[in-house]
Amino acid sequence: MARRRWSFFLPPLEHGFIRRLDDVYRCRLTSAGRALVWALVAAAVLRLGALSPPLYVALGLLASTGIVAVVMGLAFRPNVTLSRRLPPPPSAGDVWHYDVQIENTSRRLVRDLRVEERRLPATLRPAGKPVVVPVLAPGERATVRVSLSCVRRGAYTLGHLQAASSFPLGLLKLGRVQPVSDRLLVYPAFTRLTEFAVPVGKAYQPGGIPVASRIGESMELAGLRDWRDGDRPRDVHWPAFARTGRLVVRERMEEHFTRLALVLDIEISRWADAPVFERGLSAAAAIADALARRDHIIDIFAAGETVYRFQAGRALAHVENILDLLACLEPGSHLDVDALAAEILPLSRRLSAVIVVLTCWDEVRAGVIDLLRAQGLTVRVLCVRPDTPITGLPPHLVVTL
Amino acid sequence: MRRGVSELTLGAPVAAALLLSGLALDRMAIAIAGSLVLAIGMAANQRPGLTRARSWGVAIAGGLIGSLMLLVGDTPHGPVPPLILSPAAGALAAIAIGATLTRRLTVAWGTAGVLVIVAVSMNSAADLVMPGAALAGVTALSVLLRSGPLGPLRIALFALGVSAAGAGGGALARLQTSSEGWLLLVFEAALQGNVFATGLGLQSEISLASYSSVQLSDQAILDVDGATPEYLRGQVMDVFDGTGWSASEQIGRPRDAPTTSEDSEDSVAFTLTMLSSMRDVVPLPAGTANFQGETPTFTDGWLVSGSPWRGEVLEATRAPDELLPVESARIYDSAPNSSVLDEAGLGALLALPADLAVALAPLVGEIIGDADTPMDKARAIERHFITAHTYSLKSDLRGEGHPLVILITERRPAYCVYFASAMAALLRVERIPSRVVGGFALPPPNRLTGRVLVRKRDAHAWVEAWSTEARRWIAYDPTPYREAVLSADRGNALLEAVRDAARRLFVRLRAQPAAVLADVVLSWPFGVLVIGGVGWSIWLRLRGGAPRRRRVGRAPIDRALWPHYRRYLRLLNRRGGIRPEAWQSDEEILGLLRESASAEVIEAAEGFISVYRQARYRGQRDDDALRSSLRRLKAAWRAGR
Repeated sequence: MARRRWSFFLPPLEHGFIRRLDDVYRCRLTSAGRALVWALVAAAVLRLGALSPPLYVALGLLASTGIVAVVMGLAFRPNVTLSRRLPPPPSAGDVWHYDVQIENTSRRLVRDLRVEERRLPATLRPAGKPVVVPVLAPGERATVRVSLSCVRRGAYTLGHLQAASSFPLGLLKLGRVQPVSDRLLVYPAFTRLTEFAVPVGKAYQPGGIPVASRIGESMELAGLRDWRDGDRPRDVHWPAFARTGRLVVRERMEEHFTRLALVLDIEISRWADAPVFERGLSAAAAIADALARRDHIIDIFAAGETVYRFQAGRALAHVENILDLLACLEPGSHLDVDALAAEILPLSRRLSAVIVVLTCWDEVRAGVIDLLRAQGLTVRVLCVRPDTPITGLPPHLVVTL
Repeated sequence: MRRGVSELTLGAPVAAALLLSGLALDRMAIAIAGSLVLAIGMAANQRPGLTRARSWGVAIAGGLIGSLMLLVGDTPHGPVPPLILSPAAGALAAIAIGATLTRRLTVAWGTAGVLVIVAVSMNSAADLVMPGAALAGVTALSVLLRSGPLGPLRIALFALGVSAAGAGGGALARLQTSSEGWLLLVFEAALQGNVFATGLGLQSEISLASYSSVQLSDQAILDVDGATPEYLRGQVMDVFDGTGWSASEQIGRPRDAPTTSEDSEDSVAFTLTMLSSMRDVVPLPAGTANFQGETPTFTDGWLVSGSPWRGEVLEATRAPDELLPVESARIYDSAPNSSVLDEAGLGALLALPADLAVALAPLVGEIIGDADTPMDKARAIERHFITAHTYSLKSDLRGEGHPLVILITERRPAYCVYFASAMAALLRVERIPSRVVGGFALPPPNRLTGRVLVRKRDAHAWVEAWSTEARRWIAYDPTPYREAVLSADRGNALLEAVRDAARRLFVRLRAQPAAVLADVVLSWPFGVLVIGGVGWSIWLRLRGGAPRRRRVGRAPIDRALWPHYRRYLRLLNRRGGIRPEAWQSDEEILGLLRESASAEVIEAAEGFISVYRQARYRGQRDDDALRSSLRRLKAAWRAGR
């Protein structure tokens, strides 16, 4: 999918200029300072059409107050070092709280200190008012909590942390922006499913899946290896022990798994459909979470003009890894059926079932489902676009969450 | 206790702002009511849940109350029209109260600040110094109490800051009063040279000193659009006492409109945008027939009285030849058929000091030569000055005798006033009624826009002489070529056009913001923009609501692989009669093939698809393998037949 094109009708914060203005307005002005700016703008505008003495006195006083606040504030800019302590990543729609550690590295007191994130993208907004540290002595440390409202999932870089002081006039927040860079992944919002019914017959995996192997339960001998803590005594290979004098255990390879494919349609043809795409991601996250908590192997296919494949479940990858992937997924401009078929059909005999999450229902997608069914695969279909209901499929194949 | 202080610091500035605006706008009763609501709400610690819709409701309710107040009493005069001011003030007050009750400090204080500024912009707010100071004090105290824990250092620095702000504010206000506005200085300086100029009154008297010079000023006077005339008449001086020119009382008296209709179909229209205020007279060209939609009221010198203000736009029509109207009454009736007017009727129009007349008498004969009619004589004198004299901004006519005599005899350089005076005096020696006219000679128009910017440096003087043949005053300009001296460095026409447009917009915005807004709203580009925007919005809604139309087509594939794949599809079509739909995958196509083709063909097709997939999805492109697999497929089909 191409980058979103600029339009005058984009939401205000999507415009870079307005976002920068908002950044300065939010991070450089206190509430009283913002009121001062509004009054100053009103006075300047009205001053264009009038020469009333009270007006130019008011204009002069407001402008002078602003200048004095800048001059006095510059003398009290804090000199501190900042570092973030990040908790696990949030989901879209969450308010994410994390701590910032402050150390006063200067030789003088720092007063009325506020820590804020600067230059945030439109989909990460500050939540609540910044905590004020009244006084921080030289060498002293303090920890403040910063909150961000995560509007949309994605991969972000928090690169600019500002420590500013509103001392002494309480109008401006003057300080320094520090390039403290941290990465933030915002997962898709999803509700944990209590139940997700899908046929889970085991399928033969020739040669096994190496990382998913385990000791003891399977029939095929994979080899011998040294004893590790936790291995069962019954798996000790005594002839090898006799030969080498070391404890050696038999390692067997499991070749029958419940292996499911989760196909996620990532096509959107215009940006207005982005919410549908996000809904699809949320549904996929919920399904993947439900499946990964069981003993299944999951192959995730993100199908657009390119098909991305990711394997999870058992010891291969955890739910967090799936969410990492989904957080970074960008929409595609079209669904390439051939590419999807080339990826998924060679696995058809090893898959127990295929769960397809679609962003809409049309001929192309109906063709994909027919193709999968023709291969003998058990298919479950979920369409996240409410105005294009699934038609032409038996009801038991259609999933509703 | 602490909470009470916090509430007080939040609500006190808003209440003070309400009361101050009530005083300024003469709405004290409603301001007291609003303050009471605020005080009771804060005391009860009521926090109404204001959703966005309710906030709009509060603002609209306040606006309605403000509108109703229009019926109760007059609104003071100010830059904002009462019809806008009263509802706006009501809405601002309501928002400030609502935001205070919901403890939204930024909105509450910001709205209160704007309300105060709107209030103090009223002319009636001049005596609000003490309430204003009280408001500033309350606000400063609130900011201090909210800014953090109080200590000696904070209080001292805050007091220092407030004092500095007060002193600085006073200085800035004083700077504004001493000029036209410090805020505008920077902008105006970018637009015109002399930013301290405060309007213009054309000279009603001209003195002829022996030594004088002219300082050129770039102050913009007016902007002319449409049928640009050559001259704009601003003053007529008919009394000459030997040392200078002045206007007689007769010149300023009102007179009837011209009897001959000059407002014919040949009239051409033009527009003047005043960039400086003018006093007493509207500068208009000769032959002006219609001014602001009406026949203008002229003075005896064919001038139009008025004091156009800065930013005013004046529309007029004029005769294309810029001739003054034909005279048909009063003083000229005394000698309607005479080649020389009756002296008693003409009065000052022929007056000339005796010694000057004696000194000029021998000179005029040389200049006019054998010309016999008044018009020929005037043309001869005009030609003489243009050809025999030079122009200079500095006039040094010191010496023995009258400066005009020195000018003519020694042909020293001078500027327009001296040449016009000399010509008028020579005409009077010849007993031809003459007078000096002051105004503006228009510079060349902008090549791109056709508009003319008239600056102070374009001020000029010329001569009008009575023509008995034409029965009207005819203009003569005896000033030699002066373009090289006067022409400003106009630079790039595009830049000039942009600068002039910005200047006009700025002046009009300052003088008539509502009119500019109305012009913009009623202009056709704005209409097109609005209609386009509404249409676009409707289209988007319609498109968004309808099922999405999907173009069914084959997904684009690698261009290098497409020829092979296309050959494969053609083979399927020609040999097997299979026409795959765009949405069908390769597996489905193979499925169709399996139903109808032989085992060799199926195997060959699977071979091609295998090689093709290797090339497309694994990056292992092998053109030879693709070609050979296609050849095998073709051969399999042939063998099958």
